[in-house]
Amino acid sequence: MAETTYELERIEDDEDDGVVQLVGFGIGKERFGVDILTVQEIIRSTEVTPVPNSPSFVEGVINLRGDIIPVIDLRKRLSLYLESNDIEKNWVLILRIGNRVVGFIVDNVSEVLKIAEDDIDPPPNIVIAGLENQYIRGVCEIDNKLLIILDFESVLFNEEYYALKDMDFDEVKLIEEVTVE
Amino acid sequence: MTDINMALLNDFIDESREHLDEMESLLLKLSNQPGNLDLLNDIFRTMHNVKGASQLTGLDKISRLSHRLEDLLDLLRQGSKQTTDEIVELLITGRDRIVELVSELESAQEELSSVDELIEQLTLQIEGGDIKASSEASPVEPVQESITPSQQAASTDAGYDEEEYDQELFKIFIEHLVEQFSLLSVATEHFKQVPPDAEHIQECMDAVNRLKSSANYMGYDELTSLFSNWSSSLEEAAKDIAIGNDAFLDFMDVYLDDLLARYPQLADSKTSVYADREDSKPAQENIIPQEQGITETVTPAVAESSASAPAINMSLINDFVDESREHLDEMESLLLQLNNELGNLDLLNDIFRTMHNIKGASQLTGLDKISRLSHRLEDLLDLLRQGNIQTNRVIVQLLITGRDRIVQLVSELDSFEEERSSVDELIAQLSELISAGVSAHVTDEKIPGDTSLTSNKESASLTETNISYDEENDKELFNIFVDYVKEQFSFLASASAHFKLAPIDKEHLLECKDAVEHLRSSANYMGYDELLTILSHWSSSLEDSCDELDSGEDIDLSFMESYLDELTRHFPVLKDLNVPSFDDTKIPDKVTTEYIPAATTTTEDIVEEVEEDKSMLQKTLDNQLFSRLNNALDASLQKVSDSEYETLNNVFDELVTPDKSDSKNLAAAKKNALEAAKKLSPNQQKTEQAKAKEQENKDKRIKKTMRVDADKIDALMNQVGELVVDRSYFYQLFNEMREMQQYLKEMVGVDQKELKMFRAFTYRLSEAISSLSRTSNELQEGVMKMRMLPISHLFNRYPRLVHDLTMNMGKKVELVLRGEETELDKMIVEELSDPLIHIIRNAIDHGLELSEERLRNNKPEQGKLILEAYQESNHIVIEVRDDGRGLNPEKIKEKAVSNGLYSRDDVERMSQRDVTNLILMPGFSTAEKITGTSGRGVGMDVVKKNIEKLNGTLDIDSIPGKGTLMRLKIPLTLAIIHALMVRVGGDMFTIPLANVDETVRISQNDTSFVEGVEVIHLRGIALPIFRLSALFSVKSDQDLDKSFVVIVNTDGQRIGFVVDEMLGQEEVVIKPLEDYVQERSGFSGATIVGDGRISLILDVYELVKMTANRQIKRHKEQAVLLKATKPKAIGSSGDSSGRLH
Repeated sequence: MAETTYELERIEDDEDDGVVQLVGFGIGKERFGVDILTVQEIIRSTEVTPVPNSPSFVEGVINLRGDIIPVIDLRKRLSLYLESNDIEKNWVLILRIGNRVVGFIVDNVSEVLKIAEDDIDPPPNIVIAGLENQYIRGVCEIDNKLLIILDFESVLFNEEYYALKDMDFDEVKLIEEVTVE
Repeated sequence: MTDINMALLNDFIDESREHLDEMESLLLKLSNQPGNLDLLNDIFRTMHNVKGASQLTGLDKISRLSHRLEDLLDLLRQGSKQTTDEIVELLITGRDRIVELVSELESAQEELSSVDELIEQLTLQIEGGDIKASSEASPVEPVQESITPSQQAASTDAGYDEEEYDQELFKIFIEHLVEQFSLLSVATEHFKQVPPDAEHIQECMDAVNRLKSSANYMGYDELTSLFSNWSSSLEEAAKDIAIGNDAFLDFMDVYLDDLLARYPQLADSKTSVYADREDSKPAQENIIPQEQGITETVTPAVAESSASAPAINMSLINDFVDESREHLDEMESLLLQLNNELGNLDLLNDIFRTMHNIKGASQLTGLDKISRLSHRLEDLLDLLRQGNIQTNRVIVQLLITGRDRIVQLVSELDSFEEERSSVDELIAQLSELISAGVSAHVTDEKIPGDTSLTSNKESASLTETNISYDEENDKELFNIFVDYVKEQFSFLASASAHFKLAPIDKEHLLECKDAVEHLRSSANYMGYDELLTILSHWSSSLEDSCDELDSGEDIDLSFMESYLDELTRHFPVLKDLNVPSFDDTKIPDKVTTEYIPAATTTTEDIVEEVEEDKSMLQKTLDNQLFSRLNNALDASLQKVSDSEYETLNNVFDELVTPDKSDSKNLAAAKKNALEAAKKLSPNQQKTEQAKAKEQENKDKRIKKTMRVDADKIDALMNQVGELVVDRSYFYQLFNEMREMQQYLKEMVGVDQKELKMFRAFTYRLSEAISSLSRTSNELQEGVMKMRMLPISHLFNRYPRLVHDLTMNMGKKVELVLRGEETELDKMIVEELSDPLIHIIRNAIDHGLELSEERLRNNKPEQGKLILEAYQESNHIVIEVRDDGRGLNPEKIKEKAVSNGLYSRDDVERMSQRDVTNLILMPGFSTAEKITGTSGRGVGMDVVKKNIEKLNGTLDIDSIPGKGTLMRLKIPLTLAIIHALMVRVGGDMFTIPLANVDETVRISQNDTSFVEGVEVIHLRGIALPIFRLSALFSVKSDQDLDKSFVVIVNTDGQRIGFVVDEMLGQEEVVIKPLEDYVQERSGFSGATIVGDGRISLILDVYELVKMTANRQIKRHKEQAVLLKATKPKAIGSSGDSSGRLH
């Protein structure tokens, strides 16, 4: 387990003896968790303004008290073909990832979970719920259910999705520019 | 000095850049006018500044190089070396090297480039110059005159006098100090001759205590303790005397010296007091030995009072350096102006003022040399502005030299923290001039405001009195005061003479007492404490005498004489008045002339008559003085009109004449007062002007020194942006309210009466909103202005560019800059720099012809390149215009074809405009050969891109053979744009108004398809249109018969966007989109509209490119499908910006 990563170190600073606090959320029947420290706030989904020609998983932008924040449909982003229980009652997790603030649309949000570091296992070498393990930081079992702890840095910055962009533009150069990120 | 002071480095970089920029433009000017001394001086000054700053920062290479350059410049400006092209080129190279070093400092924090070979070259040039000059030339003479190590050591205590203090306050303090000091020194002198008596000591004590309290008030702790020591010493002495012991008063001298060491300016007052006592010698001459004496006494004084007397106050030096530089810069421009307008009194006054400020500050800081020199310069300036010496070029040159020397001293202070250069020879020169001026002035009658009264001989001493009493006060006021003193004095003198001859009666005494009292109150008014003391003593003596007279005792009035003498001592002017020369006195002539014989004949009844007259005189005098004083005051505050004189006088009538009996006399007095006041008014107005100017200058200074972190301004700008959004929110609420009103009225059917309240509220809300919008507009404008820079920041870079380019190519080009004061956003200024360089390069390289070609075409040999900026509503337009050969459309077409960009048919079909715009395409160059400057075919497309990035546009207008005009249109600011709001389906989009040419309504019939592209025909021109709904995959609800088309202009082409609805124009705040959202989406950002919804801002340039690419793609597919017989099927101009494969 990557004990030395920045995120975990920070958690250790803030928490007693390797207890991680996670915000749990769900898409379809799948349960996910995200480090509470990256969560800026959780809002009810508001009116999202679509941005034409942007990557397909970008749902659009929202106005968060004067700031314009992109909103990503996590279901689409992760290509989770899981049926949604209730489309109308979406939640938006506003996460701070690096210097960026991004909203992720999820189906529901649960309580804060306290999990001991030791209970977190590295991502298994199999595909869970159609999810590639590059987005998974770890998994753990709660109440006989699998909780997937997502690595949002790679969710957001994985170069792969830039390739999804509209290829109307001829220059490969442009793509290279973008992927320098 | 080799360690670089990192803390200072940033400041140095900023500052030196400014200097270097200035230097560049100066050097370029110099290359055109090699003999211009002003230019050389300016260059020298800036170089000097750079040198000083670099030394301070510990930059070895820059300081060495700039020092050498400065040496060379010095030789040049002294004329011992001819300014040749070669030297100018060398100077430019030197400057460039410094620029390079500065950039290295910025990026790498060290000086990388070598300067040695340049220094060698410079040294060669310098040594090649006249040897004779080199002794003078070395600007840093290691003169170690009066600043001893002990002083430096002592100087660490910065206990008193802080620069932050209000200059005004300090001046007042100094004035006060000077007065008290002269009183004290007189007293000390007095004690030396006469055994001290308790009363005098008490006076001294009073003076010292007064000083103590003002020092305390100023917060000068050290001075305060000095004064309290002094005071207690005096108290002890007083005690000694009281018990009959001999008192030692030697400490007086010690304290005085101590004070003198702190405030060298006191030397003047001391001197003038001495001079007055000695009477005989022209006082001015005295000052020099005296001053030199003072410099000598500084050191012993330091030794005596071990804890005090800092020579140079280190903590103040930095402030002084900054401040004095500003003053010196100002003075320089003033002096140069003066050189052209020798007689300009306003200029002289301004120069005097700045010099005075420098003097004050240097004394405060304890800078011996600067203060001495500036003091002398000030003296000279005073004589000049009083017209005692004619201003001529020699004197102006001397003043300039004096200023330069101060500049040098200041720089030395900056770098070595001591004054090194010698000032003695300059001071000697100045003294010579001044003494010559004073003696010459014997034949000169021009003393302002005092002409009729003062005889020639007096005026010299009067000037002296002015200096001792009255440096800061209004001259006018002082003159009035002197007049008055003279009058009262002559009255008192006659009375005194009268007493000697005739028996004394009480009435006379009381009159004398009144006169003295009047004098006292005016002395009080003028703030002359010393005089005040004398006069109050006099007054009380007279009262005593009166009492004695009442009790029938014999009284001795000899004190009258002694007081009169004392008065004479203070005002040497009065001496001549003893001999009754009243004919000159223009105020009630008759009365005074009558009085004199009366006084001498001593006949009883005449005395009675005299009494009458005298009381009248008294009143008139009062009246006059009062009115004149008041007028002077008034005039200094506001422009005095005749009517105001009247009102003033009316007030006086009421004030002074409760009884009507004297009304006749008063009328006369009034008339006199009026005349006098009128006479005074021109001078007063001048004073007033000078004051106004001073105020202005103060404002200017404040402006200069504002430096704010750019981030702070950006943050503020964001906030203001929010406010703008909030404002539109309010506006929307208001609209909703109106709708609700309508609803209530129509649907609910609410009663009119009840509705009235609602309406009233709606109205008030609208008022509030308009008020809010006014304020927010102003705020927005204000904040925007904070980010604004004059475009001269940009333009001033180009003379050099033109210079270099023309040198390379042997072309003759005159660069004309216009509208440099036009302001625009700092960020834009920086973004524009490169595009403009490209444009100018192109103009010179391609546009302007060689001299021969120009002559052949009947054009002036020298080409003209005009760089002009002006504001056009909320845009800045920058035009670059040359009178060269213009763009050749045939050549461009040919090139386009040969580059394979377009087919022959395509280009032949193109309009003139489209052809011209071809040069904006990547990889396009018509130059036959690639030159060092341009022609590689990169440039114009970059220019276009950069400008469009700024939401700006670029227009090209060219007439073959006549010239080319490049017109850049840039929005004033980046953060807020004017935009057209449109609706497509359920979404709102924002189109920058900068891109919008016009809007039209079309119906289905108006459109047709040309090569697969929908077009409309607008005034005979086919215009491609694109449906935003299609581009953005938004469902459109638009009625095909009623579409709106927004015609945008980008890239020099016009395209129509079809939208569902026009929502109107608005000012919107641009908010950036996250890169992955924005990238290639066709949007440049987003904005939040009034109801909190988001509207995306169209990136018209990008959008057009996208559509073009799509077209091309489709065409290619079609071409493949059709296995085309025609090689390429390309849409009309809509495609022209696309790139082909």
